[in-house]
Amino acid sequence: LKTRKTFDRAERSGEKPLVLFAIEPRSYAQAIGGVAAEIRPNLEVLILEPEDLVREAARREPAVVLCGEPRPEGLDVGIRWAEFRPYEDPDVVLVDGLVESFPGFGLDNLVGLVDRLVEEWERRSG
Amino acid sequence: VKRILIVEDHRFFSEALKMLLGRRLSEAHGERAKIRLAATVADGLEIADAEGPFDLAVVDLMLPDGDGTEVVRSIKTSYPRTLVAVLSSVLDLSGAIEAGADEALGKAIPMTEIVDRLAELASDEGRSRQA
Repeated sequence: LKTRKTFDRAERSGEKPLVLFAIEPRSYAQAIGGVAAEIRPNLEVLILEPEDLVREAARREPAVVLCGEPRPEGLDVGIRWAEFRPYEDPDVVLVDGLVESFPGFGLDNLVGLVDRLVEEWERRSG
Repeated sequence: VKRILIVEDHRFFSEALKMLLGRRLSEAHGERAKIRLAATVADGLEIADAEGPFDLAVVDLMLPDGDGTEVVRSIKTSYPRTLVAVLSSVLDLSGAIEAGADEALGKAIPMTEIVDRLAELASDEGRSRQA
């Protein structure tokens, strides 16, 4: 897993990269998002209802979104968008629409993926 | 060290619960935990038999090979002092209580409340209150 140093830019600016979780069922979002919030205090983690996601993503400019739906048209393409359906297909994540398959994908791997996406978002956003 | 068995087939959920519960027991109750995971009724029964008694068992009801109430009933028969909490998205949890569960929690409850309650059950003060 990545370390805090990967998030230097955000820390210098005084803002934490924002990660939105809107995975279904909600108990999964709470469980997985709860772990991310606990072990990544350098991230701001918000757990949302899926129906609130598009509005909040447009308003808050997150670094990363993890949810069960594809990116809606018109939303900032700079946001790293990860589709993940742990209940149906726990080994597959679509990152910005591209399939990434991880046999035996687990919680550590998922947090590692969030780290990677935040890092890439930071590089892209300068 | 508190010994806890989690019987839950969805690995992200069980891994997350394991991590959050272990941390909460440590932070809020000053107690360490050794947590075992099982993903099926058969695994749960086998681990409970081979490694019991546990201080707390957390059991989902809908498991790939059957109904978690079988695990609840077996643990309460073999180890009456083990506290058993059912954690499920099933709306009617009365069957789990009838099978002997000490606590029944719906997965719709906020995760922080679930973890708080399970940590309380596993802790020394929670166990003495329940006795």
